[in-house]
Amino acid sequence: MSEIEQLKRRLERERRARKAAEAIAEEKTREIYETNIRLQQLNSRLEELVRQRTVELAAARDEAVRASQAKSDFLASMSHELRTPLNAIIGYSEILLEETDELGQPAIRSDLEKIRGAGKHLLGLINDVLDLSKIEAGRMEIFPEMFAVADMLAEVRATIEPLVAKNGNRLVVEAAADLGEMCSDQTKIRQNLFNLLSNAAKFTHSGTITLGARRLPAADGDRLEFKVVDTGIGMSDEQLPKLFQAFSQADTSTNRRYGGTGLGLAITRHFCRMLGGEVSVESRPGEGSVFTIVLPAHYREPEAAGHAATGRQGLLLIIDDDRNTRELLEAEFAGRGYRVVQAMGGAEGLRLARQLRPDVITLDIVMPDVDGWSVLRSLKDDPELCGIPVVLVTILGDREMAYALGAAEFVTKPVDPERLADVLARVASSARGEGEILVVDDDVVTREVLRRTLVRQGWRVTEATDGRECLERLGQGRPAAILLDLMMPRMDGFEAIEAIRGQAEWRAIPVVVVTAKDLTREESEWLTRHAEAVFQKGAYERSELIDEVERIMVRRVPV
Amino acid sequence: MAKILLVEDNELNRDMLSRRLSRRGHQVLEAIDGEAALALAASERPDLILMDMSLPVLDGWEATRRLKATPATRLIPVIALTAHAMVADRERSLEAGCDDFDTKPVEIERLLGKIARLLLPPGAG
Amino acid sequence: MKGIVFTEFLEMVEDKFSPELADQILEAAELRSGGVYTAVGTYDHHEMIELVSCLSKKTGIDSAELLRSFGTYMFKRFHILFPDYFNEIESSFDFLSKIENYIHVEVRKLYPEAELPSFVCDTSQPGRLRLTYRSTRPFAALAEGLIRGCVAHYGEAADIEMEDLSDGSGTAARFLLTRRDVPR
Repeated sequence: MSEIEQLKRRLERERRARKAAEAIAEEKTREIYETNIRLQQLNSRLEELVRQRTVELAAARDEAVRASQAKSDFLASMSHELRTPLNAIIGYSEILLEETDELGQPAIRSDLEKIRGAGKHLLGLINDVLDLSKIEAGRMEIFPEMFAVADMLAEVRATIEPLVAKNGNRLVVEAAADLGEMCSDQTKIRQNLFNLLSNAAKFTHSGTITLGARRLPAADGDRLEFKVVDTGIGMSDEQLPKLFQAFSQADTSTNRRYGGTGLGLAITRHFCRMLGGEVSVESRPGEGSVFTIVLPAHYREPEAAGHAATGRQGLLLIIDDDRNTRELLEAEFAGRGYRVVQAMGGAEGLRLARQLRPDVITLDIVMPDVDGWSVLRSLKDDPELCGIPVVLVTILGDREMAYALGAAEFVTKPVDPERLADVLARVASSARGEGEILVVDDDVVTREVLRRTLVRQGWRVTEATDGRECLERLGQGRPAAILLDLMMPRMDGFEAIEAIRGQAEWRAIPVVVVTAKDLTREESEWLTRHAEAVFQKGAYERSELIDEVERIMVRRVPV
Repeated sequence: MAKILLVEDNELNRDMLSRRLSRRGHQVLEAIDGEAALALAASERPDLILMDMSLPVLDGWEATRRLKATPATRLIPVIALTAHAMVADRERSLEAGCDDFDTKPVEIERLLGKIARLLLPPGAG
Repeated sequence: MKGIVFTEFLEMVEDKFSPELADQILEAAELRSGGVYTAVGTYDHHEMIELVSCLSKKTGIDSAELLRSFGTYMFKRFHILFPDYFNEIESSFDFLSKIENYIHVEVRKLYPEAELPSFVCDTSQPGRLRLTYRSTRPFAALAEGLIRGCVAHYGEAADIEMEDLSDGSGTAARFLLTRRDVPR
């Protein structure tokens, strides 16, 4: 009896313990629910805040752009406003000088000279300050043009000779015979030389000022070297570092004794750097100074931020969610002179493709988070992007490129005849009417429609119902291109492509893959699975991908 | 000693240049806009025209084009005076038909040299 | 005190003694909870003292001895129920020094109101661990059992000295562990 009592009691305790546990569980669940609600609200509030901030930032940016534009406009109009009255001062004093010479009034002459001199000095100051403002506002532009270096030097000499003579100095020009032509901003180079020469003239008395120029040939582009040598007072080691800084002449006493703005050399250095070169100085106190300007003979625009190469080869957009892959491909192609832009996933890839219109896109098909196939479809469906060749890539070790290399071109079903014509024109090696297209599709209606479209465009057509037949036909004769449906029985598209790429004589035949416009999830999964399978079976190197991309790039005629 | 038509809308600039040219012995006619320039060129047949490019009513480029398109004035040499030494301005002047150009502020000796060269009879110099 | 201590205690009594004995002490003790414990609940720690006391009377074994024994039992159970806490722990010193700063921190995340004893460790001398136990509840003996269980679990040979810091109430103690099998 007592045993049954015991068990009854125990059962009762267990039951009540269970109920207590359930109550606790319910309580905890409720807490979680309430916490979730609070989190959601917080999230919404945060999103709203972010949206507001973004709007504010956009407005601030627009404001900044407006302000910058206003500043430039101000600079431009100020420059005109400031120079006009000054020109009057200088001009009239020159007129009066001429008149006093005629009338023979030497006493007045020296006063007029002072007015003129002050006017010219002020003009120099204003010009320098406005130049520097413009440079610092990022609004100084380069205007490159072709010109003969020797001619420019002759002009400079003619202009600066009187100034040099003033201090009893002698001007020597040593111009090499083979200076040739230069494509750069002549005005700025002249301004630089004037600046250096007038400095030399200022700080030298009864000495010699030499303007030298020679051409330095180089494999990556010739350069021109200009030297201004003077036998003047020179500079000490302490004075040299501050030389090219704005508003610091070697020291303030020289400023007062020799005049000048202290801006000339700063502007000279800016100009040299903007033109792709540099200015440097050597000097010894009491012996003189040597200023050297080296500039590329052919001015090249600086590259866009972030990309190493000059990008003459074309623009490549890499869409891949794996950072290592992106970096690898970028390094490969940037080193070959392509400009490269990376996109982390499908959405960014599509956005960048629309914005930049690259020449080639590499697309990782097997991206775990983003369906690479849908990205591909989006690219091919967009009338503005469908013409960009897409090379499918996925890096799963070194054995993967079979499919990627096999299908650089896609068309979606139902096939638009115009699209098809474009693709074939781009891809097929023989001219229309001379070549044969092999159509591979298990659906008889599709084959018929494609046949009629192609025949109308002047192609000859042979047909195959699946991958195996396709290979048989290839054995009988080489087509100009293959139109291949991926989803076929017996031997599916992937295996066919792999087989085609496996044979040396067939490898170069362009394969245009025809995919359904809207892949069902089933088909998508099937494709992804098969893509992986093929990649593992394939035996191609990364270098082949690179060759393929280069081939495509070369084929594209620049617009 | 030549008859020079000076087209310049800025009073001070016009005055300065006119006086300095007169002192050198030239006869100076003045116009303050492009239309007046065309009229004076047709009626007075100057030996040379100095044309400031930024003018009211009709700008210097258009005025030059019309001068060069009119048989009566086609052969009058035109020197364009521009405020900038930009490539674009230079090319634009030459395209409009100018025979030479100079920059403002004017350096009188340089300008006189250009005038002298254009006034030489054809075949000389 | 968390319910898990009670449920484990009762299971230990059922295993080591008998279900009847468990039933008897539950009936004998005056328990506000009625002896109804769920592992996720919270109960008055005096009930544990009451249960241990009843068990001591019924078995004739000293309360402190029972608690020590329970402590050792609990350590083994912890290892089975919460294996994650034992990852990458290679020695008893390792484990004991993690109780305060890791295990109890995790417990508080789930049960913010839990009142946990403090286990402050001093490992400045190699081969020696000085551990100071402080609690608002008098379960120093339980702590001792846990410590012994821990050392035994890692198969170490160590001397364990215990010094009462609480004038007999059992709310504070210092343990000094000295490894015999580790060179100094």
